[in-house]
Amino acid sequence: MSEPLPVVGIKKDRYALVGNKSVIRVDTMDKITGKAVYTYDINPSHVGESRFVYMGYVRSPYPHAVIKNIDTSRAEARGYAVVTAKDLPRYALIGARPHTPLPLDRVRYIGEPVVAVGALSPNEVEDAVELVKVEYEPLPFVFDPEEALKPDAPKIWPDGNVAGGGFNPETGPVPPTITIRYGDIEAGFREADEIVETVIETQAEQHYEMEPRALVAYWRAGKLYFRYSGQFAHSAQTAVANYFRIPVSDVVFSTSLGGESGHVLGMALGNKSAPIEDLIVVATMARKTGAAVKYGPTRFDNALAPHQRFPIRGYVKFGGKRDGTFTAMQARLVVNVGAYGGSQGSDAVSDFYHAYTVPNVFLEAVSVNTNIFGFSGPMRDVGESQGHFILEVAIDMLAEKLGVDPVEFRLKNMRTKDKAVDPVTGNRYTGFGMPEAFIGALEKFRWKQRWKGWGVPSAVNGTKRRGVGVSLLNAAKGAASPPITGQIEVTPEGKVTFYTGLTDHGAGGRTSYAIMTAEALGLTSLENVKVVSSDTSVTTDSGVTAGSRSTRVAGLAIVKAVEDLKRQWFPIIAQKLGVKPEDLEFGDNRVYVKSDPSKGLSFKEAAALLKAPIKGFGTFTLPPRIVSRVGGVKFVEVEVDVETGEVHILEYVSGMDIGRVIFWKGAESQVRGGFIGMGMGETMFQELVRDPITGGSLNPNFHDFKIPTIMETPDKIDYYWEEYHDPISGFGEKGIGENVLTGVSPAIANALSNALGGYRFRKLPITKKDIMDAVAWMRRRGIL
Amino acid sequence: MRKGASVSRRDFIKLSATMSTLVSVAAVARPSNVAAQPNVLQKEAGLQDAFGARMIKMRVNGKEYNAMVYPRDTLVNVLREQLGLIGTKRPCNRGECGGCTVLVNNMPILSCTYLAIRADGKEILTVEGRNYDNVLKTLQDAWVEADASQCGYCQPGQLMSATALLKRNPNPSVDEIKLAMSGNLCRCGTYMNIIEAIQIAAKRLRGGGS
Amino acid sequence: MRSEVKNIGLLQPATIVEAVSLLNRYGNDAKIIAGGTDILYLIKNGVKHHIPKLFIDISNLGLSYIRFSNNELRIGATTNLSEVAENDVIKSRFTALAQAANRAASPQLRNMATIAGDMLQEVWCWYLRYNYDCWRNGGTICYGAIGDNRFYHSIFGGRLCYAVHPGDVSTALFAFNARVVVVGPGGERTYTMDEFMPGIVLVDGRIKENILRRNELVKEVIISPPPPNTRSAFYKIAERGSIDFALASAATAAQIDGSTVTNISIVLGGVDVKPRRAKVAEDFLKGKNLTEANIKRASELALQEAQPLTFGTGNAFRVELAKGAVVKALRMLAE
Repeated sequence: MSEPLPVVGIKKDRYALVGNKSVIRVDTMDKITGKAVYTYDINPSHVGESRFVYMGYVRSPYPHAVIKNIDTSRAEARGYAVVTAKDLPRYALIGARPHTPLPLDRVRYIGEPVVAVGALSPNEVEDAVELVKVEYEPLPFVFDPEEALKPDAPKIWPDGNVAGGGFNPETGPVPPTITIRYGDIEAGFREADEIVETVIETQAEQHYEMEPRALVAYWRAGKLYFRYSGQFAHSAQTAVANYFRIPVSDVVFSTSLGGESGHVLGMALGNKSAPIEDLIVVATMARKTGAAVKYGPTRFDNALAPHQRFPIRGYVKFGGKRDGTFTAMQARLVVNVGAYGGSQGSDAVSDFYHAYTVPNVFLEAVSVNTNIFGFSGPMRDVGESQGHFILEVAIDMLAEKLGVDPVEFRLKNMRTKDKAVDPVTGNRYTGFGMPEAFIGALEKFRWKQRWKGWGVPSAVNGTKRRGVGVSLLNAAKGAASPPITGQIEVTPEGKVTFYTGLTDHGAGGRTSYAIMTAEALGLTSLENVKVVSSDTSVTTDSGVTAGSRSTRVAGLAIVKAVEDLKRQWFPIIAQKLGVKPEDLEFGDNRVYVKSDPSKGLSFKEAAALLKAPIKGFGTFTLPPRIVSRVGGVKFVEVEVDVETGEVHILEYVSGMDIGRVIFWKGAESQVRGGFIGMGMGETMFQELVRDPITGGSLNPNFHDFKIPTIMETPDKIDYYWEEYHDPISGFGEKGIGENVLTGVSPAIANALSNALGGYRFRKLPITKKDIMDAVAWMRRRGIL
Repeated sequence: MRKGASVSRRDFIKLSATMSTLVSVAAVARPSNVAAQPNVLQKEAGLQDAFGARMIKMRVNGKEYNAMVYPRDTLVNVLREQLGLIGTKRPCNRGECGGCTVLVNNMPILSCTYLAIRADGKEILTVEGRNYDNVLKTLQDAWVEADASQCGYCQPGQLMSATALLKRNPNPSVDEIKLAMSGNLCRCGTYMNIIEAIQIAAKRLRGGGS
Repeated sequence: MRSEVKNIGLLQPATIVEAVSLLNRYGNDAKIIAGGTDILYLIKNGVKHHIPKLFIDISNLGLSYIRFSNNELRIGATTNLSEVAENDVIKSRFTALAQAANRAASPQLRNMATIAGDMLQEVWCWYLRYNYDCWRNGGTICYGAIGDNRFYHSIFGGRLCYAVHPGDVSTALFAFNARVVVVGPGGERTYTMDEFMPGIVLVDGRIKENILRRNELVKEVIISPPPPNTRSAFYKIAERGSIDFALASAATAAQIDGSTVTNISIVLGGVDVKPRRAKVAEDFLKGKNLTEANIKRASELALQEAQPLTFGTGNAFRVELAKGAVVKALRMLAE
């Protein structure tokens, strides 16, 4: 094993604020008293305007059609503003499949925006939409990726339906088909005592975050300003500037009003990220009308928004020995990336071979265009939920066939910290808290007392049957990828501000950043610490707020910025105290002398020595061949009423390789919320419903796209956090935002299976219909 | 998506022929001719007033407001746009998510589905009423303590349902809490913390705990 | 698709007579608004035939009341579901009705929605609500019959429109043999639930499942005095524990002498174009005890005429759920 990585940040046994259970979220009160202005709330006076032009879209009612004619004359005659593809520069093509922000001649998904209209009130916008007449020639459409691969399938693109590979900013062009192969897969199957061959698949879904993806844009004095409900302020700034061929410095992005009060965002789940089509259209309308334009999507708009979670169908063939050895892992993932593509199956594939140390591996992922929605994108995670569902249900099936306890099988074959290396590239993990995270959660959940055997419920009470299930977690999260920047300003009054281009999705980033800033400066409260974020006029690019990287990235920027502050500030303090700058340290609200701690100044006194505010600049570059992955496990106990199909979650225990907990309350809230708000939803309720005949969207609303209510709350949620100091970090932190979700669906599915006689659920969502199918199956076998 | 849920080219052409007269702008609803026709009734004798704006008086968070509203104006739009009280959100505008909940005469209703005209003469409580309503204030403090809010967008609606609950039932059981809150969706999934916050606030209001 | 309500007028008559007269005068162009929870949704979605030019507001006609005298229950048409759910008399003497009212929709909607609205609400069929040219929208096809009919379409077959009636309270009203008082230009008429909601009919040129004409309004609902040893129960199965319509529900009211059922009504909700009496199951249970075996048999009999849809997605699973709802409701009776 190679040498341990050098510790980059601040490593201590105990911190004042990091991991402190009493620290509360910094921005709640403003949000719950109506003071915080979300982007959707912005009215003209907020941005120095007297009125807005409100924008709406004329959308395609067909999943696939030729646009024969667009007639906007009646709308324009009434004085409404109109933007079509003709108003957009033709030369600028963007995205995975090159396309223009509004289509030129063809629509490829239901609800695709065709024409943008603008009016002086939201009510009138809807009138304007009705006045535009678009003539379509409907074409045959295809939703299923394997149907789309057949020779006689409707061609969504001239070159067919295998998706263009797209572009990964880190690794370059992504091939449309991913292949990972090592060892000898045939030998692996020959060695196996049992082989499982099956198909497992997930569904298309949408984020349904509470605040729709609102945008306000205006041109002022030659600059283009955006206030947007988004998580990628800096990359959006660059992308939009590039599209319009104007200097990046002429484009300003802030999440909501940004500025000195920080930003407000009604949740971002990956959908408020890369798509810039709406941004281009709004900016074009703003230029055309000379007005400030607001696009406040309705829930219907938001439901049909470009990015959706992409379904994956996995053809899996796993082989193992009766002693529990996993000998062969083969899978072909068919990834349905929608009409224009986007995210692909690479993350899902990599989870397969990282999660388990199988010697013989053959994995493929092919991405296919269909008309089911516009773009494939992240939904909290990027393919990992889908990949984990396929992987972890298949693992259970293999363990069952081998007669091995599902926990024992995983413990025997999972990747642990002594093997924390990417088997394909040889890149090493920064840190990996496995198997400890697994074992800790296992004991907390009391698996051994509950598990009664394959197909044997953990308890039966009348018509109610209980079952337990498990899912491993191994995902590439918390990457310390470039760019990593941030600044910390200290004023002579002792006020501290951390500037970061990162966003707080709503999960608590701002509080984490404030905690780390205060901690690095030795402060014991957040009182004088402020975070200014996601506003390109005052922050610098610190990369995307995605991939659960923001805590780690902010942590690194913060400790580096503090080092820079020390370089500027400590000489001044040292002179006052008559010591050397290297002798000084922050701690306990003071700047003290390391060799004589009683000697020093209070933080305020030290600040008062400054003649003007100083700013520390922090950057960090990750050494090569380092990857960041998070491990963990999810245990669930369910109770099913076989008469009514009602499912109740009794207990959920999450084990996570967490590194260092920064914002303790927020982390706990995310474990709970990720399970209830999204995990249960995607497992048991959510799906995009498309009419099989016309291809129409049947449930673009909160009633029929069902996210869990408070009635679905489990009885108990607990967690085990494996804490240690991950070396490439500010304080040992890794990242949890997505990991609270990945693996929930197979854990629940496996538990349901255990409750219901071993009936295998291989498709999401698992609704009451599927429960009743399982009950019928059990009856046919005499189990019920 | 079920396998075979797509339609082959041949089938589609066959179906198209039979259905072209039946399938109009199907999935993306467009009322066919409603916009084109002006509302002819408006010109009828005695009906002008029925369509016109009228003055309503409401007390919102203890303060008197007058507003000119049309029949079509919903309370949420009036609160947010005319009165500038943006605390109340409108996540779905269909009465399906609870995010727009406000109290009208202490009753939680969905302001996106409540005609503003109905609010005439009524007492309205929104999250901006912190200094006006002690139950709300206590809940807001408890919300911060129990970390019951993440992104915050659904929380005004949650708080109003919780306020109505505690006004009606100062000592609710967990089941009673869940039932009262069962019309408020939260995508961040903060439900467990919401239950804890309500319990903390209830205890405080009953005079126990600091 | 609209988000905002169109330019609609609003009239607020002071009396029932005035309201009826306005409805009569403006016919097609006017619609009653009481709770508004359904009509505003339909208007926002732009569902053609539901968009009036005028609202006739009946929320202040003194039709919100719950009166119990001489053991007869009268509930005014615009009484909110939350009042029905929380009323002590209804909870103790007409338990299934209170349970149904308490399980409908969400707490906020229960504060706005009315008992007449539960009966008169438009079906929740996603084809209708997204403006497909189906029977109810003036077309000549039922998309549900051939498309995605998992949740909102009948498991008992049908004709023309297959969408189920989604009303929980209506289901309970059938179980209590309630009557509906309707006021029209010609005066008052009283109907049984079966007469009021006979199933798919053509009324004023529109396909509906109730016989209310466009110039009429519902005044009140009456439930005759139930015999002293009456017990009732309501059970609803839905995808989530709140908000959702019933995938299947059952309301039952019975007179139980000792442990023998002397008389019983069992009504299935959310599975047919109207709440459906399970007569065969009722006849079976008369004179019997509510043992597990009898309860199970009754649930089988209640669904024996089921004809789930097999085109499109199919909805046979709701047959099993409906049996489950019947079993649960009958067990509650036996407790």
